[in-house]
Formats: sequence, C-alpha cells, structure tokens
Amino acid sequence: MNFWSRTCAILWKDLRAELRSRETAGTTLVFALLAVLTFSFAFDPAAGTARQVLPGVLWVTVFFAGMLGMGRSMANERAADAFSGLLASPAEPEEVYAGKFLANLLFTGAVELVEVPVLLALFRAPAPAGGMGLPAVLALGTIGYVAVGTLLAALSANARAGELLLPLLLLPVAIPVAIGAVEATSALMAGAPPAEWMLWVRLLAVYDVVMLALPQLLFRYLLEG
Amino acid sequence: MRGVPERMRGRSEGLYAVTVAALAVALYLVLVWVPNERTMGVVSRIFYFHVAAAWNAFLAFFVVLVASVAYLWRRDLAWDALASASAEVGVLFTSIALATGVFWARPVWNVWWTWDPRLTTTLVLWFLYVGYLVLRSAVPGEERRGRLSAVFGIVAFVDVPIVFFSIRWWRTIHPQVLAPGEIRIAPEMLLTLLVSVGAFTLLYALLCRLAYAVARTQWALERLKARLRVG
Repeated sequence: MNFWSRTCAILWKDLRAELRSRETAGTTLVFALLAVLTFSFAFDPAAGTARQVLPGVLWVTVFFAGMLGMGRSMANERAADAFSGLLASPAEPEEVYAGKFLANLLFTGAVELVEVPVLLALFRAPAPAGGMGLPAVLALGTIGYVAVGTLLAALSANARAGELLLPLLLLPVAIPVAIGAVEATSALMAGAPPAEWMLWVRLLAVYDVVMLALPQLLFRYLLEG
Repeated sequence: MRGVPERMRGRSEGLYAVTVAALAVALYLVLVWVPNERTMGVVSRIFYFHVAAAWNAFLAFFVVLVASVAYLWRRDLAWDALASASAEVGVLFTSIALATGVFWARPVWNVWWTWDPRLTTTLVLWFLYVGYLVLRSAVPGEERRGRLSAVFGIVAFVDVPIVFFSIRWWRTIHPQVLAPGEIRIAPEMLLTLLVSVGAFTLLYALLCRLAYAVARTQWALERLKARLRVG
C-alpha cells in the first residue's frame, strides 16, 4: 500500500457512502439550481446587464454549494465518531486529507457540470470563447476552494455549531479565489485575449499550490482526537 | 500557577507608566505640535493614529502566527494564551484602523469607503481574526482549542499576502506615503508619526500582556473548578 492506494481507499469509501445515502451530491445540486433560480429573479436574465453579473452569480453559487457539501462530508465523519476509525486505519492524516479532498472535488465538480450549463442557458449567455479556457478556470478555482475548504471543514467539524462556523472561516480565506475566478471568467466571457486573464489564472494556480501544501503540514493536528 | 496574576500585575506597572507617558507625548505632538498638512488641513492628523493602529494590527497578527506555530511545536498552553491575547488586541487595532480610515476617506477622497488594496485587506483581516476569535469560543477543551485555533491562525496569516496582491491587482488608489528609497514627508510629521507608532506599540504590548494575564487566570480557574468537581 502506498500513498495513492490509501488515498483512493478513502476516496472510494466516501463515494460508496454517497452512492448508498445519495445525501450530499443530490441535495447540493438541488441547492445550487435553486440558487441559480433565485439569482435569475434577483437579476432579470432578459435584461442585457444580467450577463455582466453572470460570472459573479456562477462563483457565488459554486462557493455556497461547495461549502454545504464539504461541511456535510466532515459532519458525517464526526457524527458516528468515524474520525476515530480513520485514525485507527493504516492511512496517514495526509492521505485522509487527500482522499477527502478528491471526494469533495468530485462532488463539487459534478454539481458544476450540471449547474454551469443551466446558468448559461437561463441567462442566455453566448458560448464562452477561449476553447478550454472556462473549464480550466473552473477547475483551478474549484481546486483551490475545495483544498482550503476540506481543511477548514475538518477544523469546524471539531467545534460546536460547526456548520455555522465554516462559512465564517472559509469565506474570508477564499477571497483570492473569489477575485481571481470571477475576473478570469468575466474576461473569458467578454472574449478578451489570453493576456488579460492569464494574470488571474496565475493567481489561482499560486493559491492552489499554497492551499494544497498547507494541509500537508497542518491536517494531522486536526485528527489528534 | 497561583502566583502568576500578581507577578503579571507587578511587571505590568512599569510598562503601564511608560505607555501612559508615551501616549501623552504622542497626543501632544499629534494634536498640538505638528503642523497641518497643506491640502488636507486638520484632517491630516488622523493619519498618525491610523498608521499606528494599522501597523500594530499587522504586528499583533504576526505574533498570533508565531505563537500558533510555537504551540503546535511545544504544546505549551502559554503560547496559546499569547495567541489568544494578541488576536483580541489585533482585532481592536484593526477596528481602530478601519474607523479612522473611514473618517479620513470622507473629507479627503469624498467617499466613506474605497476599495483600495490596503483598506480592503485590512477589512478582510478583520473578518479573518473575528472568525479566529469565534472559533476559539466554539471549541471545548483547552488542548483542542489550542490545536484548532493554531491551525487557523497559520492558515489565516499565510492567506493575507495572497489577499493583498489579489486586491491590489483588482484596483489601487492608496497614497504611497513612504515610497521605497525616498521619504516624502516633512521632518516634524515623520517624528510625530514615529512617536505615535511607538506609543501605540507600547499600548499593544500592555493590552496584550493584560489579555494574556486574563487568559492565564481563566485557565487556572478552569483547573480549580475541575479539581473541585473531582474532589
């Protein structure tokens, strides 16, 4: 057993639990679609100005839906004291983190896969230019957000009223993602040349590296009992 | 443990006297001695408190980082008490920096708020460390509280430079008072600024020491209560 096989074991455990309960991904997806619906009443999609708020709507929805999913995923471990089981398993804390991160990334990605086309259709946005630009920005933004979110969800699952605490901790920490991802998405949708959004792609990449590296040092302190 | 509060009080008295004297001098320099800035007039005097508070907020959060790393490494609750004290005083100074920034922006920039990188980063800092204090109040058990808040104290501080640069690329209009390589400020104003920063730093040290003593006393109280319940 090496790092990847133990990480995949944790990931597989989360996927199997999800397939059995169908709790997190389904609920999160319905929430995301409802948020999109609410936003289309808040910003009239028939008006031309709605397209300007579209990148913001997209990322705010991803942020909130992702937060629900990550909070749930850690609260489940907490509920039956499954953290102790994870501690007793041969997986190192870093591997537990990597497995939970990948599971959260899959769930959030699956939600985006449905939500983003629906959002674009509802707001009658033109197909974004730049080929793989939008998927790449979505991936970079989501990786950074889920990387730090998985860590902070594990942290707040250990506190009282963790579901209330998570947004308080995660949203200010994720502000660079909010800025970078929204700016890059806006530039892509306006059909701007790559020079205009490469700065934001680089910012997101740096954020991803930092927020994937930090849990390698810090996650083990959250599992100590 | 029993002697700690008295010892802390004894050591605080010297610092208390020095801080009061320094603050009195700073107040005199800022309110009476230093001339008005030519274009901004009397409003420019806010600047000396604003910079002093902002500098100490950053210092306070840096101390939170150092104390958090030290706690995870040494597992000595004294480090956790220091992190807690410094975060509380840091949030206080951040609030002062934000409030003075708002009062200064209104007459000078003609708006209550601008999305300038330093001002906005300070606002994000405020939210980060208010979150840190809420986290502390929500975790039962001193060992676990120390561990979890240390992890967040490190994540928050590492995040700050990324927040700053992302907001800076987003937009900027803050006056560059101290540009690298040159100082564009009259000597009287520079002296007043330095005295004001120094006095606020002493005030930070004093408040931090008092908050630290309170944290230690609460910790001792919790232990006594636990012992009473057992016995």
